[in-house]
Amino acid sequence: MILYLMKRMAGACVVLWVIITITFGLMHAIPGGPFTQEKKLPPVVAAAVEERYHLNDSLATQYWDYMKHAAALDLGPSYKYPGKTVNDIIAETFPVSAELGLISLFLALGVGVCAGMAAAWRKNSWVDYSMMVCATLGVSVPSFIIAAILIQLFAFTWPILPAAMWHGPSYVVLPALALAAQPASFIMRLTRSSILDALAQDYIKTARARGVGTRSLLIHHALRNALLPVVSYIGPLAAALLTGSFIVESIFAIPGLGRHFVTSIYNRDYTMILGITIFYSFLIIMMNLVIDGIYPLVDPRITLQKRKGE
Amino acid sequence: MNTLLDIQNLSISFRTYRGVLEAIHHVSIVVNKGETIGIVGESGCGKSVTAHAVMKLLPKETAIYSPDCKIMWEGTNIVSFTEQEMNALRGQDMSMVFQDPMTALNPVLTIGDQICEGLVLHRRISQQQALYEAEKLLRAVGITAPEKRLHQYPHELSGGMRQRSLIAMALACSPRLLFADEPTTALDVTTEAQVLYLLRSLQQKLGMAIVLISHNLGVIAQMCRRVYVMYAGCVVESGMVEDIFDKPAHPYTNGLLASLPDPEHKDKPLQGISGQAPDLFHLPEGCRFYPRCRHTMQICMKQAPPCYDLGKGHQAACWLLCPERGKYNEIT
Amino acid sequence: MDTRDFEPVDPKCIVPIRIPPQTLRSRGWRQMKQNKLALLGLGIVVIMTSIAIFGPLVTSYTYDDQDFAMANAYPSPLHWFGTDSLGRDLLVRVLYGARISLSIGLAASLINLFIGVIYGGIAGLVGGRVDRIMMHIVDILYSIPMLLYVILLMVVFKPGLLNIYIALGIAYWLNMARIVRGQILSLKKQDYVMAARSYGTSTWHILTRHMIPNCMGPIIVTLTLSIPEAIFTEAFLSFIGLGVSAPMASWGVLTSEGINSMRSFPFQLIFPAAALCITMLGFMFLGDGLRDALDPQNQREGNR
Repeated sequence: MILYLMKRMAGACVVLWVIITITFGLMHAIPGGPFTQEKKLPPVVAAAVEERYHLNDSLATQYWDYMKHAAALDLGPSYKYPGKTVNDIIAETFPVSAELGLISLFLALGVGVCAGMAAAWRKNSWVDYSMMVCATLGVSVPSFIIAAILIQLFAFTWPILPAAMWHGPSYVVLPALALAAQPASFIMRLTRSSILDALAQDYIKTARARGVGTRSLLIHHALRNALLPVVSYIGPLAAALLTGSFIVESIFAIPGLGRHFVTSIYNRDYTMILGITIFYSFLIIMMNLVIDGIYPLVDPRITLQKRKGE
Repeated sequence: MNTLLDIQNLSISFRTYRGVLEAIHHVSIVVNKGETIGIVGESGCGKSVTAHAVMKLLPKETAIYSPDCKIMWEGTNIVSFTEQEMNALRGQDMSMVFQDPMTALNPVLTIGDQICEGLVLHRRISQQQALYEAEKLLRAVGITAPEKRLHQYPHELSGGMRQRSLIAMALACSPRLLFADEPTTALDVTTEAQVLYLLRSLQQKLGMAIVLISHNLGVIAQMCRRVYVMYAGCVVESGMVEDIFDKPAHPYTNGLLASLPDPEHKDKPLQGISGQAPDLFHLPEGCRFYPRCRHTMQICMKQAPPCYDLGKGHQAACWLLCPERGKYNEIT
Repeated sequence: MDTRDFEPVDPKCIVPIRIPPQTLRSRGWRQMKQNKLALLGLGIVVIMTSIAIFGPLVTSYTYDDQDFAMANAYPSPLHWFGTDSLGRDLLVRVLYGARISLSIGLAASLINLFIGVIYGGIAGLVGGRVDRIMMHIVDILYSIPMLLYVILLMVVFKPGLLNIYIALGIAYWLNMARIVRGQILSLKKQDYVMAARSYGTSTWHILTRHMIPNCMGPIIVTLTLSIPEAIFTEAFLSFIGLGVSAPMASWGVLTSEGINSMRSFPFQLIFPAAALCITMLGFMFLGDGLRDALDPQNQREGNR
């Protein structure tokens, strides 16, 4: 088990290294890219960039230097906000995003799993069909449209919730709903189909042959098997919430890291874009690692077997 | 009353995307207390469906029971039993052992959990007591180190051990009837012999009846007192094991027996039954077996034969046995 | 009954019952026909595609015809969908948007398909160490949040239609590669492949006659379901400002422009958003239906 975890950690480090290399390569290897001398930068920033990135040195030195800094968790100065580093800005804005993200995570998981269970339990009833319709809509309607609809309905038509900004608990509701809608729908479909798959398995028949009742079959037998794919999905779920936050934070004017990322793109604040990309990648890899650590606890078949990267 | 189970005129149809398919047609089977009967036939002939139908394990949405059928369990017709009433019967009065031990066990629950479930449910004892009983059961089915096995998961056991665990689960509450649906098909020959021996000894100890479903004639001959031969969803012949094996009356049974390799006459060519089992969506008119029969007569192609009684409980559904045929002779 | 009934029949006269052959395609098609939602999806996709191809040909405006006098006009017989803030006819913009969004969806998916099939095919066929290395690479790439890198690519390459095709195409082939490789690996082990080999069939023949046809199901399903993903990703990029450049407009661009004027001119959001959502729904229904029908593992009756 320890060996397995260590192997995953080593894998994660490799991925991180690949990410940093790719990011670095993209930024530097393109002619006319961000670090060319023709860019007109305010002198303060230009000096900082010059000093920091050793732009006159060879590419290899720059790369090595960047790696060293990245390993030390130093992501460089910002292009747009002189005097502030990328790390500063991340520290300021990430807690907000984290709060929104976590709330949305639990919302998506909770609603998704419960709705999926309900739909599978009452298969082919009106409950099932209406939930499936909602879920299909949720998966295919982009989150910014959902956000727009939510704002229109709940902030203007029935003004019960605030439309933007981040000043208190009631400001969380609409953004969390908008962010969680798509993942929740996906989880709902996933849960439903994996419960139905589990119910079709032979061991359910064996349990029925022992006289086990329907409710116990669903909860005790099928659910534990059916939730395994959902646990596997938590990694991609985190990634989806992260990227979804760009849109939701922008629409709702929430001062989080996602909105900052979007404005950096608009401003072509390259160091910021670089730094945030690496930060996000790091986050997601960590999240996947945690899930990889949790998964063997849930599925006894994995604990004793060697898992080969699949 | 000696009769445990009396299936009368059972027909099951399934709703499929190709239309309604009749899987078994007018099947009648009787099981008495403590006896072992066998149901034998090719794959797809409806043996499993019959057993599942009795225990109501068929998918509710797609399975249709014929309106005039009766399944009498100790005198009560259970066709119209609700799920709750069936749950009271299942595991406690009647039980089933399935074919594939790997898929029949829940991979995320321990063996102990799965055995205790039935015990706690039906006998209303505590989990602790149930574990104790479960250990005794595992020992009774011949699993070594049962205390350890209780806390292990299915993928940690071998195929034979899994099948024994399944048997233990099925017998946990000492049912009076056990359906064994091809219990040894997925096992190798030595394990098969052990499991069969186990079944027989448990039956003698508990006095339960067994319905053994198999396509293996040898297993049936070894274990059963009476046999039902099924083909394409119908029972074509039934009777005592000796009568069926020594004096088969139906051409299909005859063909099955003739196809067994004969170790005493090694140079005799292997005989099969020509043709294939019919597609249940495109059944022939008349007798279902006539396209493959060597003794087809005109009437076979027009009408399905009724069941003729040959004495001592030996019955067969074949026009060759019709007394109006003039001469009645045994088929060689 | 009389004695004639009991006359034996000459076995040679018994005509075997012909069972019509059932290919995967016929079974799949039959199952599809029963799935109303999938048919609806197919209809939507066909309609949208026709609109994309023929729509802009039948309107009188072009997508960059500006008429400031008519800016932000409500829907009227002159402009069925109204106009946007620069006086451009919204109906035409939506129709052109269909072209752009659908072409992005299709092109990106096809590039994904191409790369994925080749990569997965090689990995699966060659097997052994090559396969392991190739799959390690896929695993590493899989852990990377692709959207971030598409964004980065678009930042570096400057937004534009061709760049979007490329960026989306080279980022999302991983799933297809895994699926194709998985299919080929499991097919390699099938008895009929060994049987074919044992009587001397060439590898190419095995590949084309046995393996590829069996892969087609999951490939088609993945392809169909990746089109709405590509369209959605493009909409996402447009929202951030990295989509196609003005005055060309995809549905994503139109929708994000529409959100800005949502309060004052809701129709500017409603029409492109509706077009986008309906198309996505259509593809999803179609993809789901195809998966139910074509995936051989789903051939059990009553499995929905």
